[in-house]
Amino acid sequence: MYLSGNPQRLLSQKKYGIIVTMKVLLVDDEQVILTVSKQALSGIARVVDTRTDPKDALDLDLASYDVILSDFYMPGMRGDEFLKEVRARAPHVPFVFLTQNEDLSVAVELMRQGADDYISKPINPTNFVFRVRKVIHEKEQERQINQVLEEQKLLDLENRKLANWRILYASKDARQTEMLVSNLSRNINQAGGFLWLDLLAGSLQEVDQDNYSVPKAVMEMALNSARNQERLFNQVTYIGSLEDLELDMRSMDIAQFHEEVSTIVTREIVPILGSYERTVRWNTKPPETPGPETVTVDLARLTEVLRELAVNAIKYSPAATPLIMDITVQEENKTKMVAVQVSNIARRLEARDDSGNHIHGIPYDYKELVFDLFFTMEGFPEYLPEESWTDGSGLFIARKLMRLMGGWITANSGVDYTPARPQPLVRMEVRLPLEKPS
Amino acid sequence: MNPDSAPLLDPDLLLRRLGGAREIAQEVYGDLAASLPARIQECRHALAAGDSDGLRQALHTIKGSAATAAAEQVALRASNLGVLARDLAGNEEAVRSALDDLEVCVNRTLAAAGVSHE
Repeated sequence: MYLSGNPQRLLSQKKYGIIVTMKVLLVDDEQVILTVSKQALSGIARVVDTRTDPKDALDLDLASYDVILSDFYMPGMRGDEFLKEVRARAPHVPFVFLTQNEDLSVAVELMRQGADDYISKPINPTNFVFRVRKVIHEKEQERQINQVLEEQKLLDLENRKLANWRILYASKDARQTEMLVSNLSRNINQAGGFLWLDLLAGSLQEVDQDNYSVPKAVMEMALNSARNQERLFNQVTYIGSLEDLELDMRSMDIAQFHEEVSTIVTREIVPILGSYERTVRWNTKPPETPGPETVTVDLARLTEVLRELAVNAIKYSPAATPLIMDITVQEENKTKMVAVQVSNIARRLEARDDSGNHIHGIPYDYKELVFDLFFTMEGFPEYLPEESWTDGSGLFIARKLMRLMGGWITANSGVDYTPARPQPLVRMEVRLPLEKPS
Repeated sequence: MNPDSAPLLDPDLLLRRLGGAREIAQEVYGDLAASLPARIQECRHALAAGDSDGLRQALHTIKGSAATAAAEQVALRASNLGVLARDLAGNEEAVRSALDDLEVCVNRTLAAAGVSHE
């Protein structure tokens, strides 16, 4: 049984319940040929359209046919001209010439010009039907092969893209290392590098056998520089120790979780924001949860993470604007999770994008980059004393902590529609998976 | 092959080609009756004009239709005449005579098929 790949044809095959599926166009200036050929095809063709003039045939929807059969010598338009017109309108429809025996050399030439086959007249019905079906089958196979080749090309393209990504990520790792080195050296040099050591050593005045005296300014500069350097090296040491961090994980339902986060907001976030004359818009209503799912979390670490996000929000939002916090229940890839959202109005940064425009919020390209170690949106970011992790390591550590708890943090830009004039928002989302109680 | 030794019409062959559909066979004979006399006239015009290509083209069509309809004698005569018409210059009388024979054969064939146009 011949099966075309065209679903419409398969549908019509089902509809008729027999193998009558094909739609054929016959073109020959001799009605006798058309009548006999049409009858021969009646067993396999759903539709056989006939035309004695090829010019009339060109008005038909040629691409809708499964095969076009044509005479060569026709008044007004020869078969090769007709073939050319058909190829321009329906390049994939099989085209077969009906020729008389003595026209074989012509037939071979026509196949060179793009015909798919030729059938000698007078037709032998069995051979005729066989050849017509064969040519359609071959054309369909050719189409499928071309499709596979096209898919292969796309696959190769994807693989090349993947390879490019690998290279990109490899270079990104290298870039991150470079950023780490640059950041350390910059901070160290900002504090005078290790000049403080030489200055301190050169300023020492022996007072007696047990004491040196040092000018106060030199001592203060040395201490300040050393503390900055200590902070940076502590940061590196801390990051190195995170893998061995012991967590105090507790399971609770959504209502309890909301209550615990409310406590963190009240006790930790509100006072920090208050000292910068900021407020928190905290949704005091817990999310509605249809099921008894629980969330497992180390509350002390979550507090650190939320503090970090609150401090970040202060740094990257205009003065006097509020921090907006909420808890939502979400589902992604069939995984239910609870998310603590920490949003702030986006301020214009000094940093500029590739087009030279000031950056507002977190551009799409930076959504992941902001979580890179030692990445900072600004070249010389502001430091706040409430920051636990500085120098572009805050979001990296925050995400790492969440990952240790089985969660994640995402960064997105959005719009706050609650004020009369909508404002651009940066939204950090601390996500934790929800589990069904065992 | 001598056309006279071939059957004028081979209805069984045509019926086999048509899968036994007698009504279609009659339709084919009707198509022949509508086509062949007109093609003979085309041949005569081409011959009068000394148009060898036009003559051979018309003969080619007659041969194709006749062979398809299993009108064996007409097909053979048209084929032989096509060979003769390749060299028309100085050969007009022989071609004319053969064309006359072909027309007679066409008329006999159509009469045998029961679709005589006369």
